Amino acid sequence: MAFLEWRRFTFFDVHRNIDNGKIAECLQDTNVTVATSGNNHVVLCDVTGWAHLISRSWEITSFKAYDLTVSLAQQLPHDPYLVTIGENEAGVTPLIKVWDWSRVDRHGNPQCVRTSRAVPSHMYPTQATALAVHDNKNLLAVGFQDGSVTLYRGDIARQRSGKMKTLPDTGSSPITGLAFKGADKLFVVSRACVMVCWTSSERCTVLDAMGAAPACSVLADGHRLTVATTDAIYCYTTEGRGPCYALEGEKLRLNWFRSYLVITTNETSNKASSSTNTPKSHHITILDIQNKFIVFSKSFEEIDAVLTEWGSFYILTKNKEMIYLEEKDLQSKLSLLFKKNLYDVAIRIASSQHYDAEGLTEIYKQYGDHLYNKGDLKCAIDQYVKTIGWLETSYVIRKYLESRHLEPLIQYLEELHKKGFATEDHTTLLLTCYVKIDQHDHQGKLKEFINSKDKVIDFDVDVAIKVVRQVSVDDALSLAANHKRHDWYLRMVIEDKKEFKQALDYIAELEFDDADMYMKKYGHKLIQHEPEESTNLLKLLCTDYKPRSCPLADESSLTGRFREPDRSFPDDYVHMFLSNSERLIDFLEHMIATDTNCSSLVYNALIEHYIHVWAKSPEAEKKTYEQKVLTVLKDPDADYDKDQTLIICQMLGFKTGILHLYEEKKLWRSQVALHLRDGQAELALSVCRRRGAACPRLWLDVLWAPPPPACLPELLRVVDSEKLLSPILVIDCLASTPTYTLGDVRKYLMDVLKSEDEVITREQELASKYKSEIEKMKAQIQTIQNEAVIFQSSRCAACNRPLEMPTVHFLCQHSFHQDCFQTYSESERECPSCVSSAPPPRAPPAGAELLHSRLLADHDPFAVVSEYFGRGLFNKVTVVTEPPEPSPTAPVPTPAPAPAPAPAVAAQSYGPGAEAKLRLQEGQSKQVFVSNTAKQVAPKGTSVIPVPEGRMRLMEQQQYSSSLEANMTKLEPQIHTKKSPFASPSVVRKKEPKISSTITNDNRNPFDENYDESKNPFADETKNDPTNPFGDDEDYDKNLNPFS
Amino acid sequence: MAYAYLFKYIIIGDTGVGKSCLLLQFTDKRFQPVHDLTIGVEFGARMITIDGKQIKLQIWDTAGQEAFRSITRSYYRGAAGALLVYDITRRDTFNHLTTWLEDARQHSNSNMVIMLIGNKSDLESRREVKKEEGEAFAREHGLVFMETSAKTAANVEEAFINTAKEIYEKIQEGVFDINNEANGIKIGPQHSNAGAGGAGGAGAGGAPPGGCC
Repeated sequence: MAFLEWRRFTFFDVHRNIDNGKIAECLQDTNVTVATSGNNHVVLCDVTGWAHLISRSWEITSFKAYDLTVSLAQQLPHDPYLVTIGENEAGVTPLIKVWDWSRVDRHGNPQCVRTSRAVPSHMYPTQATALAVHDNKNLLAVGFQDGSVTLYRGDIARQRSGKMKTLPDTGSSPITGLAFKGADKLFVVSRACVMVCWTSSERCTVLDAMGAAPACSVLADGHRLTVATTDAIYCYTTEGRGPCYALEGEKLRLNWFRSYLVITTNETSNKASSSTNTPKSHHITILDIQNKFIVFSKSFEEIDAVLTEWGSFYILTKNKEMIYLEEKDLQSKLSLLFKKNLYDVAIRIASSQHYDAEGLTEIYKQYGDHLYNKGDLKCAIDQYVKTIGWLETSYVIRKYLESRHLEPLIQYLEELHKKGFATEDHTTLLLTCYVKIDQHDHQGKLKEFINSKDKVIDFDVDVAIKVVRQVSVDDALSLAANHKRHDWYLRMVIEDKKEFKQALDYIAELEFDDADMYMKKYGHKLIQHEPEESTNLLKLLCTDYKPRSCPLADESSLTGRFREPDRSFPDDYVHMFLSNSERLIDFLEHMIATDTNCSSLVYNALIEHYIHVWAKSPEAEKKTYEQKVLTVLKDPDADYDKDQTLIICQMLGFKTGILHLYEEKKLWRSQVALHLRDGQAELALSVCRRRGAACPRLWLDVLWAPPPPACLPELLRVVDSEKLLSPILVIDCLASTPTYTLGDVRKYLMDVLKSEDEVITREQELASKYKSEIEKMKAQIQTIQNEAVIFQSSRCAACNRPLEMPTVHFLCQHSFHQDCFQTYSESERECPSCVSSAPPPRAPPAGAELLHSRLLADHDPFAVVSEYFGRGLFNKVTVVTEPPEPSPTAPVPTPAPAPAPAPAVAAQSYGPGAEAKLRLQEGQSKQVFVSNTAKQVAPKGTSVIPVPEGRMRLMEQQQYSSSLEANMTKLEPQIHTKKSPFASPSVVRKKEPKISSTITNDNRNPFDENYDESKNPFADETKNDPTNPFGDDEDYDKNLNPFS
Repeated sequence: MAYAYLFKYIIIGDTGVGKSCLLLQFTDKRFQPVHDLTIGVEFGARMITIDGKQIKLQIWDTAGQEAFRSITRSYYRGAAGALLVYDITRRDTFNHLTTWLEDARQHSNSNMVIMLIGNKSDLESRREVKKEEGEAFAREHGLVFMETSAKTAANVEEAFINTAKEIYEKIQEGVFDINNEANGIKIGPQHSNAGAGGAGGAGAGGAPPGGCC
C-alpha cells in the first residue's frame, strides 16, 4: 500500500455472515451487477434482471425488474423510489424504470411508476454507463458509453412528465460517474476528464484532464467530488481541483460514509507479479479524511459491493457473504488511542465527533499528565490550558509550584486570566511568579505585564497592585496609573514614596470629580507636606478646575457653549489646613477674592485663622492682620457667623474685633463693659456719648463701674438730665466706691437738690392754687344751690341769633331757641354745646371681662396676672390714713399706671420722652394732664380732672425703679410707693364724697359682680379714665351733675 | 467572503523542510511539532489585505517526497506564486533548490513570483546554511529571500504577504493577464462584474441560479 505516513487504527470490527446466508441463498447462482441502498433498504440487482429489496431484518423481496438484466440502479435515500436502468430485450435499448416499492401491483411486486427509454430518439443507441438521481426527485441524469449525458427534469415518478436535454461538450469517452451537487451542478466523470456542468445553463467546465474508472468517483460531504485514480485520490470542487491524497493501486470502488472514504482496491493486481495463483483479493481501506487517519484496513476476498446503510458498512463479497463492519464507539476508540498515548489524535477525533467539553477536558488532562510525566512541562501546560474552566486549577498549579516550573505556570495563569477564570489568589500567584522570574533572569515580565495597557490579561487590578506594591512600589505605581486606580496610586505615592509633589501633580491631571475626591481624601497629608503646592491646587479646584492635561480651550468652549466650571466647595477643605493657618488664609483669601458667595464657614474660618495668626505674630505684623480682619468683618458681603466670630475674638483677646462685633450686634453695653474692664473709662464714655441716646443704660453701666472721678461730672450730668437714676441711688452707688470725694458729686447734688426744691415750690404753688380753685367751686355750688341764676345770654348758642321765646336755658349759661335745642339736642337733659365738646363716655366693660379678655389675648397670661398682683389688686388694701384734709380723700388701691406697658414696651421705655410716654399712657388723655398744669378751672362738665399730684410723683418713682429693677433688683417699687411723701393720692369720689376713713375691700374684688366699676383702675382705660370722677357710671345720677 | 483577487500559491521544497508547518502557521496560527507527512497535496486559504483590497490566498501545500513529484507537478500550473522552501539546518535541502526551481519554472507560467524561504530560523544552533548563501542564491535567480520560522511564526506572515504584494504590483503593472486563470489569479465576484467586462467567460460564476422546472 502506498499510504505512507498516515496513522493506522482499527476502528471497525468485522462481523462476518451477518445475514445468516440469506442473501447467498437468494442470489444463489447469479451475479450482482449493481447494489444500492437507501431508505432503510438495500437493493441488489443481478444479471438476470431481478431486483432484490432487502430490509434490515434481512427479509428479501425479489421481483423481476427487467427481462434481461439490470445495469444501473439507484435507491433514493429518503423515498421508497428505486430508479433502475436495464434491458428488456437484446440489443442496446436501455430502459429507465422507476419503482415505488411502497406500493405493490397485483402480482405483489413493487409498482413500476415509470418506464422510459434512456436513449433519446435523436441519438444512436448506446450503453448507459452512469446514473444519478437528485434527492429532490426532479432531476435525473444518465451518462452513456459514447460520452453523452442526458438530463431529465421533472418528477421522476411520473411518466414522461419532464423535459429531457442532452448536455453539450461532455466529450466522447465513456461516462463513468455522475453526481449532483445541489440542484444546479452536476459533476461528470468520464474516462478522460472530470467536468462540472451547470444544469441550468447546460454549460460544462473541465476541471481536470484526468478520468476515472466506473464507481471510482463519489461525492464526499455533499460538495466535494472525490475521484480515485491509480496514483492518487483527487478532490474536486466546482471551482477546480483541490487537494489530493497519493494512493497507489488499482481502485475498484469508492464509497463515502459520514466522514469516511471507503476505498476498495484490487490487491491481486499489486501482487500479481509475486503470487499469481493466490485467489483474487480486494482490500478495503477506510480513510478518515478530516483527521487524516486510516481507520480500517483489511483484505477480503473479491468484493462485489460496498453498502453504506443502517449506520455502517456492509460488504458483499463475490461469495454472497454479507460482512458487517461495525464502527467502534467513541469511548473504545479513545481508550485505544490512550493506550498508544495518542492523545492528540484522541482529541482530534473527540472534537470532530462533537464530544462534550467535559470529556474533552478529561482527555486534555490525561494528555497533560502524560506529557508532564514525560517531562515535557511546556507542552503539558498547553494541554492543561485547554482544561481551563473545567478542571480544578489547583490540580495544575500544584504540579508546577516549583521554581523551575514557573514559566509554564505563568503561561497557565495568564491563560486563566485571559479566560476570566482567575480569582484573586491566581492573580497573586501570577504576580509572585513574575517577581520570582524577574529576580532570576531579569526578563522584566512584571514590567511587561504592568505595561500591558489594553488589558490583554483580565485580572483583578486591585489585587495586582496590592501584590506588586509589596515588591516594587514603582511598578505598582505604573500599574495603578495604567489602570487608573487613582486611589491606589495616590496612596502609594503618599504612604510609600512620600512624594507629595508627585501626588499633587497626579491629582492635577485627574478629572474634576476624581481630583475633588482624592484631594478630600489626601489633602490633609498633602497640605502638611507641600503646603504651597497643595494650596494652589485647592485654589484651582475651588475656582475653575480643569485637568492639567486638558487643552486650554476645549471643544465646548470653541463652539461657544458655556461650560459650567466644575468647582468644589472650599468648606470641604478648610479642615485640612488645621495646623497651617498661613496657607489656609492664603487659600481662603483667594476664595473670597474670586467668589464672594462663599459660605459662612469660609468666612468664619478665615476670620478665625486671621485672628490665630494675629495672636501669634509679632507686634509689628499685628496691625496688618488686624486690618485684614476688620476688612472682612466690615465687608457687607461677608457672610460670617457673628456669634462664632465673637467667641473666637473673645477667646484670643482680639479686642478690635470684639468691639466691632459688639457694635454690629448693638451690644453697646458689652462694649462699655469691655472698656470698663480694661479700665478705659474714657472709651466707655465715648460709647455712651455715641449710643447713650438709644440706650441710656450705658450711662448707668459706666456709673456702676465705677468710673474714674474725671468722668463723673459728665456722667452725673447725663444721669440727672435724663433722669436715669434717682439721686438717692446715685449716691448709694457712688458711696460704695471710696475713691470719690464729695467734691466730685457736689455739683450734681446741688443740681438735684435745686431741682427738687423747684419742684416742691411748684407743687406747693399748685396745691395752693387748687385749694383756691376748690374754694371757688364750692362758692359756685353754693351760688347755684342757694341763689338765683340769671340767664343773660341774648343769643342762641346754637344758631347765634338773638334769643326769642320759647327758649331753653341751662345752668352752664347756654341758652337755645327751643327749636334749635330740639334740633341739636339728643337728650333733653343735656346741653348740646357741652355734650358736643365732651362726648358721653361709653360704659366700661366689666372688670372681670377685661381681665379675661386680656388673659386670652395676651401672649403671657401669667405676666398679666402678676401685673395685677403687682398692682395690689388682689391684696387687702393697705389703707393709709391721712390727716383730714379740706377735700375728703378716699384711700384706694394703689393707683397703678396704665397696664399697657407690656414687657416689650418697657424695654423701649428709655431715653428721652420715655417718661412722657408713660405718663401719656397713664393719664390717658393729654387733655387731663394739660388741664392740670394749665390750672384751668373746669368750667364745663367733664373734661377737666384734677389729677392728683402724688400720682405724678409716683410715676416718676416707678420709672426710676423700673430701670433699677431691671439692673439690679435692689429696690422694690412698693417701698417707694409707701415711702413717697406724695403717696397718698386724693381721689374725688363722686358718689360718696365723704367716706369713712377705714375701708376694707372685702367686697372689692374686681371680679365680684358687685364690685364697683368706678374703683377699677383698669376699666376701659382707652375711653374712660378710671380716676375720672366724672366718668359715666351706671350708678351715676345724672341729676346730680351740677352742670347738667 | 468577498475578495478582490484570488491568488494561487504553491509551496515547494524538499520533504521535511516545514512546508506544511508554514502553511499551518499562516492559516491557523499554530505550530504542530509532530506533523504527519504530506501525502499528495494539501490545501489552505486565508484572507489578507493589501492596499486596502481583500485578497484571498489559496495555498497548495505539496508533498516534498520524490514519490509524489508527478502528482505535485500537476499543481504547478495555475499558480501565481511559489514559496520555495529549504531547511537552514540541512544543507542538502539547499542543494536541491536548483532542481526545484527548474521544475517550477518548467511547469508554471513564466510570470510566477517565487520566494525563497529559509525555514527553521529558530534553530540557529544547528544552522548549516548561512543566510548570506540564501541571499546570494536568491539574487542569482531573481527571487525574493526571507528566513522564517514556522515554530515562532517569525516572518511567516511577511513571507506570504510580501509575495502577494509582489504579485499585486505585477498586476498593477499589467504583467499578469488577470483574465487568464491559468496565471493563478482570479478576480473576485464583485470585481469581475464591475471592472473586467469580458471576463465573464472565465466561468467565475456568471450563471444565474437556474430554478427547478
